Amino acid sequence: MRHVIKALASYLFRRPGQLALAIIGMAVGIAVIVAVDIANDSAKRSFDASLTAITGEATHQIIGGPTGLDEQTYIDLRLQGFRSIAPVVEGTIRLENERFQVLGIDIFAESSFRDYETGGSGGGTSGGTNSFGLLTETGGVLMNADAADRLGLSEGDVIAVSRMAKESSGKVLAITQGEGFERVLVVDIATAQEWLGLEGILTRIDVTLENDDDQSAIHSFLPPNARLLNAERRNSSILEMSTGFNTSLTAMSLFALLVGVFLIYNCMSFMVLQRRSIIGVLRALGVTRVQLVASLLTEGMMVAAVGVLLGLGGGILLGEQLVALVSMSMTDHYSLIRGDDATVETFTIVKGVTAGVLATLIAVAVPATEAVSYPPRLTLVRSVVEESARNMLLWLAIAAALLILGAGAVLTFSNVSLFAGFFALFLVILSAALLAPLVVKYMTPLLTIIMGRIGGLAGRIAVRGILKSLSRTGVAIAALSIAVAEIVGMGVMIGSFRDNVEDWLVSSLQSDVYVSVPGRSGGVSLNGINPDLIAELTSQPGIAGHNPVRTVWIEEESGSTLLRATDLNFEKMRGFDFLEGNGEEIWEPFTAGEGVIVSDPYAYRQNLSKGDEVTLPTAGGLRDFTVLGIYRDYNTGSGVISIDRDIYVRHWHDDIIDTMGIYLQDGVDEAEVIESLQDIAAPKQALMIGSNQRLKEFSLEIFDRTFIITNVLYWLAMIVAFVGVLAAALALSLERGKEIAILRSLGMTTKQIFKLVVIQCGSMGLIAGLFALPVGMASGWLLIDVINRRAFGWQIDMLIPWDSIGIALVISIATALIASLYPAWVVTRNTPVAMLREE
Amino acid sequence: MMKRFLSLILVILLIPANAQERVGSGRLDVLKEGAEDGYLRAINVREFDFPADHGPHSGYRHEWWYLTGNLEDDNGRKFGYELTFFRLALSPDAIESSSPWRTNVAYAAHFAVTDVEGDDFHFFDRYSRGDGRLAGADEAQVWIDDWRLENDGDKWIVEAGEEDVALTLDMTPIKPMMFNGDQGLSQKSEAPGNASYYYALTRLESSGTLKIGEEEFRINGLTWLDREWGTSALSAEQVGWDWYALHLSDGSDLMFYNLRNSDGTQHPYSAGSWFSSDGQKTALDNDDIIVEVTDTWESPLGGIYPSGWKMFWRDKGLELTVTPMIKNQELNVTPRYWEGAVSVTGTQNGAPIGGSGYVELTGYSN
Repeated sequence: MRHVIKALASYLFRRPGQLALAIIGMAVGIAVIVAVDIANDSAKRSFDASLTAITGEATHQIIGGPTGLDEQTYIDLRLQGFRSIAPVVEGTIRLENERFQVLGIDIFAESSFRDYETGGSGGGTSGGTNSFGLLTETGGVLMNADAADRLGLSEGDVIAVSRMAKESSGKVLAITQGEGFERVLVVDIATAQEWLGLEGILTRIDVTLENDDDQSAIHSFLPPNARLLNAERRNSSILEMSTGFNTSLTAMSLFALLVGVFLIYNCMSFMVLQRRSIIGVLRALGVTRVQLVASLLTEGMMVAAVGVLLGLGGGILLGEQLVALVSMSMTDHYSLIRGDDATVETFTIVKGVTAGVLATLIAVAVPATEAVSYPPRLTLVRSVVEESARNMLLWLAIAAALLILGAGAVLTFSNVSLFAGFFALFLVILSAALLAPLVVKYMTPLLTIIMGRIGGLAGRIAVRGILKSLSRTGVAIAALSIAVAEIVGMGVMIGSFRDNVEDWLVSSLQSDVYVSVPGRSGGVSLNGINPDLIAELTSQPGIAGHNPVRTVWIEEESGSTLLRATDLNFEKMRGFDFLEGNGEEIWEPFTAGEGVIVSDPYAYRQNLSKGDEVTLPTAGGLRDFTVLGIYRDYNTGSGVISIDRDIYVRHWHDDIIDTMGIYLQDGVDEAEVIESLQDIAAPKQALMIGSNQRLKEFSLEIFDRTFIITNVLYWLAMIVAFVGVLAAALALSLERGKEIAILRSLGMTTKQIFKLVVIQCGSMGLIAGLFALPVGMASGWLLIDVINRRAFGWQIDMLIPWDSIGIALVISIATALIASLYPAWVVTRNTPVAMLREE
Repeated sequence: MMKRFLSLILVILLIPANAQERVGSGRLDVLKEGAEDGYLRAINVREFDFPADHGPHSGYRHEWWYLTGNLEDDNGRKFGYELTFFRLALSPDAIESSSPWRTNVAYAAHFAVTDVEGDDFHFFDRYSRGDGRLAGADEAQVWIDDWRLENDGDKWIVEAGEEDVALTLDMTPIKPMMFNGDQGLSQKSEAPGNASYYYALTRLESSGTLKIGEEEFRINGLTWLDREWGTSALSAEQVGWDWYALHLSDGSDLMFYNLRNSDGTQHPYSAGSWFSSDGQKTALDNDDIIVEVTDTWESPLGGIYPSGWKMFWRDKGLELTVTPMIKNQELNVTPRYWEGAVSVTGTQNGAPIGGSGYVELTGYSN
C-alpha cells in the first residue's frame, strides 16, 4: 500500500499548487467555523462568569421595586437574627472610558457569598487585601488584576470615576485575582451608595437559604415591595436575554459550518477526481479496490491533518479578533463582557476537527469508491463520472424536497424553540445546496445562448463545460450560493429590521425635543431631572406641552422588563402602532388606570393577548393590570410595559422624572429652543437636551453598532466562497488542459481561451448569485419571522432590500471572475504541446 | 485589663470572618507602634459618669463589654456562658459620608455556652460595622444584630442566640462597681497613656432561660461584667496570659491575671483585685498570688493548655483549687483561646470555702 500511496502522491507533488489549495481550502473552512464559535462562546462565557461570580453563593435574592430596596429591610432582617444574608449595591460606572460594574458589599456579611479575591482557585491578592481600607478609605477599590493591567493601575493609585456626569474619586486598595471580576470594581457598600447616588438604598440582598422553612420565614418579614427570587433562575433569564445578540452569530456559525464543509468537500474530492487516470492505471496493474480506497483515504487524512491544524490555529487568531469586535458592539447591558479574552472550548475544537475529518472522509470516499468501481479502462474516462453525477440529480432533488418538508415539519411542531428555528434554517440551506446541481442543469441552456452572444464559441463552450463537469462545478456553485445566500438573508433581516426601527422611531417619537438625565442604564437609579428645573424649562416661550417620563426596570425571576410611566395627555395614543387594540378605545381606560399597554416582544414572551392580566410588583405588593393593547416596539428584547404616570406614582410611590418630551408650538425654531433650554439647565444640572432628529440618529447608530460583526462575517463568508470558486475554477481549467490544448491546436487564440475560462467562472458566479436570491430570501424570512421572533419577540415586516440583493449578485459574479484570473493565466501560459504531452 | 487585648487582635484578624488567611498581619496598621496617634489615651484618673460611661468612648481606639457567668437550672444542672462585645475604631476620626453605612468603627462579639452535664461547649462569633444600626452602643445598650446587652438603670438584660443555642437573662447588680487599678485607671506599663479605664460589676444576679437544642432551662446564677476602654499598645515580650475571675462562697470576688513572657516568666505587670463581700477593694500585685498548674489538656486542634490550678494568697491564708467544669472550652476562632467555667474549692485559714468563676487562657494554641 505504501507504493500505492507513493504513486498517488507523486502526482500530487508535481502539482504543489493544487495540494496547497486543498490545504488552504480546508484551513479556511475550519478557521471560519472555529472563529465564529470562539466569538460566540467567549462572549457568553465571560458574561456568565461575571454573573456567576457576582451572584456568588447566593441561592436567592431579595429584590425591591424600581427605586430599589430600603436598606432598613436588611437591617430589620439582621436584627431579627437572619444570618446568611448580605447587602449589595450595584450599578455601572465609568473609569477611564471603560464601563465597570460597581459591586458594593459589606465585608462583614460577605465572606460566605463571593470570592472576589481568588475566584476560588488560588492566586491570592498582592500582599493580602486591606479589608479595613474598604471601610475607612472613601472610594477604596479592590481592583481585578486584569483590569489593573489594562488600565495601567497599581496599588495605591488614585482613580477618577464618573456616573451620570457626576465625578467621584477613588483609590486602588489592592489588586485581586477573582475570576469573573474583570469588569467589576469591588467597593464598600458606602462607597457604592456615594458613587451611584443610592444613599439609603440597596439594589438587592443576597440570601443563602438551606430549606423552604427559611424561605417562608424570611418571606414573612419582607415589606410588600420586596420579593424573594431564586438567584439561579434569575441569572439564567438574564443570561438568556443578554446573549440574545448571539442569535446573529449563531446563524453565522451555521452558514460558516456549511460553507466550510462544502469547501473542504470540494477541495478533497477534486484531489481524487483529478487522479482518475492514475487510479485506472494502478487498477490495471493489479492494485485492489480496497487498497486503493484505503490509500486515498490515508492520503486524504494526511492532507486534512495539515489543513485542520492550520485551520484551528487561524481560527483561534481570527476568533480573538471577532471577540474584540463583539465586545465593541456591546451596549450598556453587556458591560460585563470582556473584549480581550477569547476562550476556546473543547467543543469548538472537536467541531472543527470533526467537520474537517468527516467532510474529507466523504469527499474522498465517495469519488474514490466510485472511481474504483469501474473496470480499469473506464476509470480512465472522465465522462463516466459526470454521467453518474448527472444521474444523481433526481436523487438530489428528492433529498432536497425531503429536507424542505422536514424544515416545515420542524417549524410547525416547534412552538417557540429557538434551536428548532436554527435547525429549520440549516435544513433549508442544506436542501438548497443539494439543489444547486439541478439549478445548473436547468440554467445552462439559457446561459449558453446568452454567453454565446457575449463570448461567441468560447462562451458557449464555457457554459457547456459547467454542466459537463457538474460533479465539480455543482459543489463550487453550492458553496458560493450558500455564501451569497447568507449575504442576502442577513441583508433581508437587517435591512427589514432597520427599516422597521426607523419607521417606529418616526412614529413613536412624538415630542420635538427630549431632555434626559445622562448615562441611564439598567439597574436602580434615583437620578431624576430636578423638579424645579422641569417647571422652569417647560415654562419657556414656544413650548406647547411636555411629557414627563420615568423609565424603570422591573426585576423578576423571568428577567427584567422596562416599565415606562408616561403622561400622554398631549400626544394621546398617536405614538403607538397597535397590533392588538385600538388607540382611541384604549385612551380612556389607560388614563383611568384600568390597565397598561405592553410591547409586542413582551406579549410574545409572556404569551399575552389583549384583555389578559399582567401581575406587576408595586410598592404595595403584587398587583394585576389588564393588558389594554399590544404595540410595536423595538426598544428592548425583554419588552416594555407602558403605564399612565399618575397610576405609576400612585402604585410605586416614585415621582422621579428621568426623561421629558417637549412639544413645541407650530412655527417655533427648534434649534433656538434647544439652545435656550441648554443655557437654562447648564448651571443647574447636567442634562442631555436634543432634538427628535438627534435622538433618532442616535438610536440608529446604536442599531448599526450592534451589527458591526455581521459585516465582518459577510467578508469572511466571501473569502471562504472565493477560495471555493478559485479551487473549482483551477481544477476545471487544469483538468481540462488537454481539451483546451486541443481547442488551441484547432486554432483558438490565447485570448479566446482566457475568455473561455473567465466566462466559465463568471457564469458559475452568475448561477450561484441568481440561485442565492431565493435561498437568501427564504433564509431571511426564517431569520425574521422565526429566529428573531423566537429570540427577541420582535415582529418585523419583511422588506426586499434591493440594494443588498444587487450587491450580492455583483459580489457573487465578481468573486467568481477574480477567482478565474489565476487559472486563466495558467492555462494560457502553457503551450498546447506541453499540455498534451502531460497525458 | 490587658487580657482582652488579645481578643482585640481577634477582632482585627477576623475581619472578614472566616477569611483570616486573606489578611496579612503585616498590614494590621491598627496595632503597630505609632498607630495610637490621633486617639485619646488613658493618662489621668477620671471621674466616671454613669450611665454615660456604660456607653461607648469614641475617642479611644478600643473598648469592650465582657460578660461571664455561672448558671444553674432548678435541678442544679450547671451551665457557664460568655458574651463579649468589642468596639474597635479603625481610624481616629469619624469619616464624612452621605451614606449611612460609612463608619470608622467595627464591632465583634463572642458568645459561648458551657453545658457541664452534657459535656458540651457551644461558641459563636459575629462581626459588623458599627454603623449604629447593625451594631453599635449607647449608654443603654450594645448590640450586634440580635445579640445585645441592655441596661435601664438598675436592670441589665442579655439576649444572644445562634443556631440552636439561645440565652436570655435579666440581671441585677448586688454589689457596687469595682474600679480596678488606681480608681479605675489601669496602668499597663510605665509609659504614660499605656493604660485603660477599667471598672467591673462583679456580681450581677442573673435569671432567665437557656435553650440548647430542643431543651429549655430556667436558670439562675451570677454574672461578672467587665468594662474597659483605652488606646494601648501590646508589649512585645508577652506571649499570652491566664486570667481568673472567681465568685467565692463568702461573697468576695477575686480577679487575677498572670501575664506570661516568652521566656516562661511572669511579667511584673501581672496584677489583680480582691473585692470583699461589703465592696472593699484590695489591689493585688504580681507576687501576691502564687499559681500552680496541676493538670493540662491537649486541644484536638493543637496546643496544650493548663487545666487545673492551685492558687495561694498567703497574706489572706487562702488556698484555692480551681477546676474546669469541662475540659474543652476552647473557642476555635482566630487566634484560638480557651475561656471556660470553673469550679472552686479550698480553705481560708483552715475553714472551707468554695465558689465558681471563669478562666481565660490565651497564647497556647500555637
